[in-house]
Amino acid sequence: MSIRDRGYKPYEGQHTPLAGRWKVVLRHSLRSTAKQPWVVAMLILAVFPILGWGVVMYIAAKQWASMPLEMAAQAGAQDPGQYVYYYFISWYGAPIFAFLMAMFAGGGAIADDTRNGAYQFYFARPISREQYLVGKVVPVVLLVAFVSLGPALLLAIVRVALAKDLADAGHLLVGLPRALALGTLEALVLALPVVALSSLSKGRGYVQGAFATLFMLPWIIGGIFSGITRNPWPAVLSIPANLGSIGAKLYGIDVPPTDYPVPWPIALCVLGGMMIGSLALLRFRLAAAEVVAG
Amino acid sequence: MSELLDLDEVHKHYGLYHALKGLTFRVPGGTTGLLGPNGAGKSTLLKVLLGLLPFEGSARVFGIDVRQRPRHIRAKVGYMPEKDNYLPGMNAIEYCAFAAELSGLPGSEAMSRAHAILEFCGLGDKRYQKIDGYSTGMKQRVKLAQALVHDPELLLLDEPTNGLDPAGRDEMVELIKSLPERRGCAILLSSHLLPDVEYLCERAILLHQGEVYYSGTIEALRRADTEETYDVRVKDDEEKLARALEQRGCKVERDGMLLAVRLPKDAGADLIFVAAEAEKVQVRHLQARRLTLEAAFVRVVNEATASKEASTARGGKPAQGERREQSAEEVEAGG
Repeated sequence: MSIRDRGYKPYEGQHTPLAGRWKVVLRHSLRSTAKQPWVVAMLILAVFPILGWGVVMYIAAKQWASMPLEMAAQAGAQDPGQYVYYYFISWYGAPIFAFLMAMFAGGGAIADDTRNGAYQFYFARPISREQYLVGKVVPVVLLVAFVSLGPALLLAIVRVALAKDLADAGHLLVGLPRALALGTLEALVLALPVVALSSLSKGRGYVQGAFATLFMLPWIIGGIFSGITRNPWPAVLSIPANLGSIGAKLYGIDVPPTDYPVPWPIALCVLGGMMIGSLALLRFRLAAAEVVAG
Repeated sequence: MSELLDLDEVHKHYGLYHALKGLTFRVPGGTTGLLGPNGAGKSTLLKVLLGLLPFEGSARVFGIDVRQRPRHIRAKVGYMPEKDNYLPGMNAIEYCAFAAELSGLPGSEAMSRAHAILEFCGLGDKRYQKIDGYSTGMKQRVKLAQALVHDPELLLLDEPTNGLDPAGRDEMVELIKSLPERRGCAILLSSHLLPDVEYLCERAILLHQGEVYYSGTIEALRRADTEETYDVRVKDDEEKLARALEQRGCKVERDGMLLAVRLPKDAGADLIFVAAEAEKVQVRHLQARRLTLEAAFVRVVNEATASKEASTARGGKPAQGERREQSAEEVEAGG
């Protein structure tokens, strides 16, 4: 047997703190997820709609600035700052990209580890289940936020930059925390369920299919049935419909009753329930993760 | 100085199933084999040692209470699982560096250690290849590398030679053999391959149906109860010597030209020479019989099972592994 380790010396330096190991998991998950072709495609494709929304916002803001407030009110025009809200709820805005990003980035988050026996790799080391969970969920949240919250913040900043004067700019600054709140909520409410579903299966394809069903079915079918039955309840499980209701409350927009909006407290409860349920499922599944296969 | 492993009355229940039944043993260090058939409780014991399962009783690793500081223990332990545990899409360097970082090494140190450990494990020239494309032997080596990369004080190896061809198995066994000397780590080796355990380990823990049937040195396990048995070959007329030995109270088994002579209590090997001289038979070969680990394993399990059945029939408490350990230590002490 040949001697292979020339000059071996045990490591005697400082170890990184135990509490910060989630960052190692997060960094690795983010790097490996962001390398996936469909995730890269989503990151690139998400640029185009925001360019369109930016141009529309620019034109609208210029017109708004040139119009006296009384005339705008008489014409029923809306402050272009509200375009950020419409970006969040329109099918040609954030929801589709956020949904696709969540599906591609989150589908394999835990399913890939289950399939490859990686629990043994992680949990035989000084990593807690909670740290692993944070390291797996946060990258998906960040990537979803990159295609929904990021562009929305950009739009809100553009709106502030196109203010009539400093006083108007100060007034418009409130658009930033609104976008931040709605965007964060959207990123969380999409990322948590898809990662939770990912803990249920070994195949990312099944996870993506289940998540697409969870997202699309209440949105499309619920929307259609709301129109037919003329009440909001068929769409009560629709993530976009609930985000729309909460966003409308946040932006102070009166949604016409003919749109049958879900009451915002109900919407908040439904989305909160989805997030809490997802976290509970994740904790349950990870607690049962087999580290030493017998 | 604290023991490497120190377990006292460790019980583990899965619902109604009693997986570990009061395990009590100590391991001072070195290389120890963890033996037992499927369902013996080996995996459950490994989980307990890694602090991954709640249990009853007391368990300490490096003197650290498993229940109180499991992550501190895991930081000092390297675990090589039986099944694949690699992350897809990664090459060996990325994989080992990631393992080192998770175990607490800073990024740059993790990377340099990853290079060094892959060199050590014989994967130096394959380190930039994706692990997905590795052969079984290479995957076993990379599993060993990820367990070693952070300089663990204790290495838990679960069937490290599983699925390897004979040449690959020999290389892996030699690599493991060299670890305590070259890396300074203790090893707990769980394996079904008794020849591997016999070659690599100084001590063994024998688990059966959730109980420790033996804990002590392998040498003592093999010698226990058999040191008075000798293999004898003579020039001719072995039958004459056999009869003479039987007359002197020996039990003799004939296997062709070979006589297996079991001496009466308190008799020495000189009894064989005395009988041979009296019968004018020339002794050509005399050797104390040593059991293989496999035979010793079977004997211990059979004896313990018989003892348990007898105790149960009497309505008493079944005999535990501690008894076996004591008898082995006595043998060891008595030479």
